[in-house]
Amino acid sequence: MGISTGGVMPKGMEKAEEIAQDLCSQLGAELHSFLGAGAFKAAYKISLANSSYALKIAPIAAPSLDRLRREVAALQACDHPNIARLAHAEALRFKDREYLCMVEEFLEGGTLEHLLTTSQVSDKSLRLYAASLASAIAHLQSLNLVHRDIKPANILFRKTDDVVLTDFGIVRALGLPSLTHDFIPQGPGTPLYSSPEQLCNDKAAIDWRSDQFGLALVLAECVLGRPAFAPQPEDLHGAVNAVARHEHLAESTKAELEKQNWGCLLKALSPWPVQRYRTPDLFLRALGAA
Amino acid sequence: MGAYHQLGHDSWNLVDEDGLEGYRGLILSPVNYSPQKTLERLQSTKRRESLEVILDPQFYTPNSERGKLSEWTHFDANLDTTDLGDIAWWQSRNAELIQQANAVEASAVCSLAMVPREYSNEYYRWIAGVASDLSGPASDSGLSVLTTALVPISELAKKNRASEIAGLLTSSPVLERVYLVLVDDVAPRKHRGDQEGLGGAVELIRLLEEAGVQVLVAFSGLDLLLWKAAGASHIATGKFLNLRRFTPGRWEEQKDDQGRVVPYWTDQEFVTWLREADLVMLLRRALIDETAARTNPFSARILDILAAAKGEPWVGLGWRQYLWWAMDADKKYQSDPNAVRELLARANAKWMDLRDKKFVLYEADAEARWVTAWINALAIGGV
Repeated sequence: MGISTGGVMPKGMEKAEEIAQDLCSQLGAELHSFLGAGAFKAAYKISLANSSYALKIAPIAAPSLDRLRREVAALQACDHPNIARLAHAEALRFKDREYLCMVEEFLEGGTLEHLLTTSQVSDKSLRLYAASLASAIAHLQSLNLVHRDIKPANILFRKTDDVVLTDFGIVRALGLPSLTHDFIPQGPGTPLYSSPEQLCNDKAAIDWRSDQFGLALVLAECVLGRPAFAPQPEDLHGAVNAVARHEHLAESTKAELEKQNWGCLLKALSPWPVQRYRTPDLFLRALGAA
Repeated sequence: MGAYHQLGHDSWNLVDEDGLEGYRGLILSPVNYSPQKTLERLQSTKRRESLEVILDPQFYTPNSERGKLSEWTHFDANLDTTDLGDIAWWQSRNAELIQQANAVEASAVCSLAMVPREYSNEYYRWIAGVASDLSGPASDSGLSVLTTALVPISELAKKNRASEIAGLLTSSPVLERVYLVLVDDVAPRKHRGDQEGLGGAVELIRLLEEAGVQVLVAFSGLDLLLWKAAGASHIATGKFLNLRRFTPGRWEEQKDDQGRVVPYWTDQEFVTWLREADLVMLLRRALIDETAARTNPFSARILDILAAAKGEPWVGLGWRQYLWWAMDADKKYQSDPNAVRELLARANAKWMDLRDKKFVLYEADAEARWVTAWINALAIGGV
C-alpha cells in the first residue's frame, strides 16, 4: 500500500511509511492512511481489532523524551468526554531506533481548522463547542495541567458538534519542573493562539487561565472571522505582537463581540491573568449565560 | 468588612475594651506569645464568640527573629539546616500549622511565607502553591486559609508589577483570601511617601478584589485610608500605630527625655500623629476642630486631660484613640476613593495653612508630602 505523506516529516521519520508499516505490524494493526505531521510526531489512521484509531509516532530522542512522557502521562490522567482518549502507548523499536507509539481514538469529524475553511460555524454550534472545551479546560485545571496549544488544528470532532481537544505535545504539568529554559524569549505554543504569558515566556504566570485565553482567542476568531487582536484582518504578525505587548482588545473589536452576544470573551481575553475569570466555574458560567 | 486587631506585645487588654467593639477579629502573633499563653488569653476574652481569630504563623524570617516562635510546633528546630526548596518540608510545616491553629482555637490561618532573597515571579508562584497545598487539609479541619503575600512597596513601583503579582496570587482557584504584608523600611510613625509604590499597592488590592479575592492588609497605619479606598475588604492594625513587621526598631517604644513612653494623638484632620506639645499648640489656636474630634470618645477623654493640665498620662488613651479611628475609618471609607480624596485634600489645605502661619511640627514632614503622594497614589492605582 502506498501511504502518501506530503509535507515535512519530523526528524527521525525520514522513511515514514516503512517505519509506520513496521510499527503497525508490531502492534497487530493495519495501516490505512497518513493523517498529518507536526514537529515531533507523524499521525496515521490505523485499524486495530476492527476499530479505527489514530497512531501517533514520535522518534524517541533525548531532548523530547521528557516531553513525550508528560504527554502520555497527561492523556492517561485525563477522563473527560471532550479530551482525546489514549487507548495505548508503547515504545517500539524499528531498526536501530526507538519510537513512541500512541494509539488514540480516531476522530473522524476532522479539525475545526478545516471546518472553518469549508463552512461557517453556526452560533448555536459555537456555543456548544465553547461550553464543551471550557469544561475540558476545567478538567485539566483539576489535574494541574495546562494544555498551552489550544488552536483550531488541535480541536477535532468525533462527529458533528462532538468536539474534542487533542495534541498534548506541550502540556505543562504545574507540579513538575519546567522543561524549557528561562532565558528563551518566547515559551512553547503556537504564537497566534498563545497568551501573553506564553509569548513572554513568563513561566510562573502560566496556569489554566492561559488556556482560557487560548480558547477565547479561538472562539473570538470564529465569531469575528479574523484573529481578535489583528489590527488589520490579514495582519497576523501584528496580532501576535499586540498580545505579547499585553495590549487590550481594540474598542471596535470589543463592540463587535458584544454585538454578537459574545461579550463574555472580553474578560477571558484580558492581557493579565488576574483580570480573566478566576475559576473555571466562573468561565463556564459566563459562557453558559452568554 | 471590618477591621482586625493586629496583636503585638502586651495588647490583649485592648480586645475587650469598651468602645472598640467594632473589630471583627484578631490576628494572633506567635512571635510575642507562646501557644499556651495565646490560648489562655483567647479563652478569657469576653468577646471571643464574635471574633474571627486568624493565626499569622510569622514565618517571615524565622532564622533570625524567633521570639516565642520556637515554642510553636510549625517552627522546625532544624530550620537552619533544612532545604527550604523542598516542598515536602513545607507540606510538613503546613500539617503542623493546622494542628497548631486548631490547638489555639483559631478559625483561620495565614499560609507560611518567608522573606525571599528576591521577590520574583517564581517566589510568588511558590507561596501561592504553599497556600494551595495548605487549603485542602485546613478546610478539612474547619480552617479558612489566607494566602500570605509579602510585597515590597518598591517592587510595586515597577510598571505592571501589580498585575503580575496579582495574577500569581490568584493562580489557585481555591484561594479566596489574601493576607497582604506590604514591606518597606519606613520608620515607625513616619508616613510612606513613595507615590508610585503606593499606587502599585492600591492597584494590587483593587485587582485582587475585582478578581473576587478578599484582601486583608496587615500591619496597617493611617495608610489604611488608601487600602480601603482601593476596596480592601479588611485591614489589621495594632496599638503601636503604624507598626510594621519589617521596620527596624519597630519594637522600641518612643520615649521622651525623662524616659517616659511618648503619647501620640491621631489627628483625623491632618492625617498624622501628633505629639502632645504640638497638639496643645494647635488646639489653643483653634487649628484643630475640637468638636469634631470629640466624636471619638477616646479623643474626648484626652482633650479633657489636656484641659485639666494636671500632667495625667494618656499614652494608653492614645492607643485607644487610634484604634477607634481605625475601626471607624474602616467602615467610613470602604470602597470610597472619593471620600478619601476629599479627606486628603482637606488635610493638604490644613498643612498649607499651617505653613502659611509658620508652624513646624515635631514629627511630621513640614511639607506634608505624603498627603499629596497619597492623593496621587489613588490616581496611579486606578481608583
